[in-house]
Amino acid sequence: MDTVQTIRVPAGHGRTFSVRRGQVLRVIDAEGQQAADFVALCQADMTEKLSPAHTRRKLRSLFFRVGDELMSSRDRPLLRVLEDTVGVHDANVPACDSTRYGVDFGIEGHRNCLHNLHEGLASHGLSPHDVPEPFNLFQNGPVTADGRMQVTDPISRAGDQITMLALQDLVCAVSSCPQDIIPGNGLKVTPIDIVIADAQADL
Amino acid sequence: MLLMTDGPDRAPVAAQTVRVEAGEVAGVAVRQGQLLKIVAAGECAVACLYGFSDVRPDVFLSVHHTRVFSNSYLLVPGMRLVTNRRRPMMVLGKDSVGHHDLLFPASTTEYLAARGYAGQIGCADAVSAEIKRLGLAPPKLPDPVNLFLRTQLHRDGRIEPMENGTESGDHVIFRVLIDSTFIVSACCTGIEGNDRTAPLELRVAEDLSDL
Repeated sequence: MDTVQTIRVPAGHGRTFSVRRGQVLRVIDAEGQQAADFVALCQADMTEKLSPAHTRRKLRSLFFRVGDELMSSRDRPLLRVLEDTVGVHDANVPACDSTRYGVDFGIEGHRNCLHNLHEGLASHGLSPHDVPEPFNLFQNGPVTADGRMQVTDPISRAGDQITMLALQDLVCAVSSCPQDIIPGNGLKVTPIDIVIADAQADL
Repeated sequence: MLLMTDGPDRAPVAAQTVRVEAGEVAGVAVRQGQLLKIVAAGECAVACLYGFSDVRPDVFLSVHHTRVFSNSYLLVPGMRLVTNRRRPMMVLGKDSVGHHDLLFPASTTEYLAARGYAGQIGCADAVSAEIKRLGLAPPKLPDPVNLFLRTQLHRDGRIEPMENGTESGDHVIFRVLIDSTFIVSACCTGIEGNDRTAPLELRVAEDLSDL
């Protein structure tokens, strides 16, 4: 079997794509230190979405590991983590949006993850409010001693990747996070690569 | 009332108290500048809090934006609880408990039934019904701020549910910053150590002495 699809997500932009049940999705940090906001919805019923909050409750953890299943808003597993060369991801920060730049930094008109994610999902009839909370792959938000969220850069290097098995037919979107103001992408926004295959061996 | 330079910008509103029975939900309207006190009226209470702007139906309290606004996984006094547009909706001003959750989703009836909590209505189901009854029209059901829900967050990311320990009379007080309707759930959370239900009181007043 061959790789089904490869997608380059340009730096600071987004892409939307489908992954079938049983297929494998690999997300690659092409140049390193780049967060990839990732969302997924069930193809059959897009009111059921990948949910960081339900995943936290299932795993009893802010973070996930290889072998863990990522849960839907109806407590069903949607993805299983097969490989992870980094082991550091975030599932606790909402997507940056126009208010992130406008309210927090006084910058209007900045590219943002919510727009990047919604851009392609809109063709499925979804509004910005329908875009799920993201898993921010490669993003680094360690817990400080007093329970705060440290703002820092990813530890991922060029070519680092996470590979997940789809447990349902999914519509997915990935944004190469355009945050270039605070630590989060090393102050240099770079592309993300996506590979979809029918089996892990084909990757 | 807020101490405005040119004096009060509206007439004072009479204080009110709304009781939330164990396993149920209730809503209360709060004006800008008023205080909202949420009181545990029984042991081991948990109060799942939702807020909706009275001005814009697409603006609501967002637990996720609240975390990132303050770069904090925990809710502590002085923190602003913000909307999905990153604007402060309220500030936690007093807290007799010191343990709350900003990470877990609401229970559903289906979730509770699958875990052996027979006959319990889920928080999400009850709040959705109350939203409809009140004529609110949010674009989605947000995730809640789980007041009094006790967990231990470890530095490796583990979220360890703890025995709740909330006592009758424990409370939090918020200063509310935009006209809002709050819905508070006393439904079962389905989280071990925090899965007993107890009644709550919602008290709203202009000044601390009236709460």
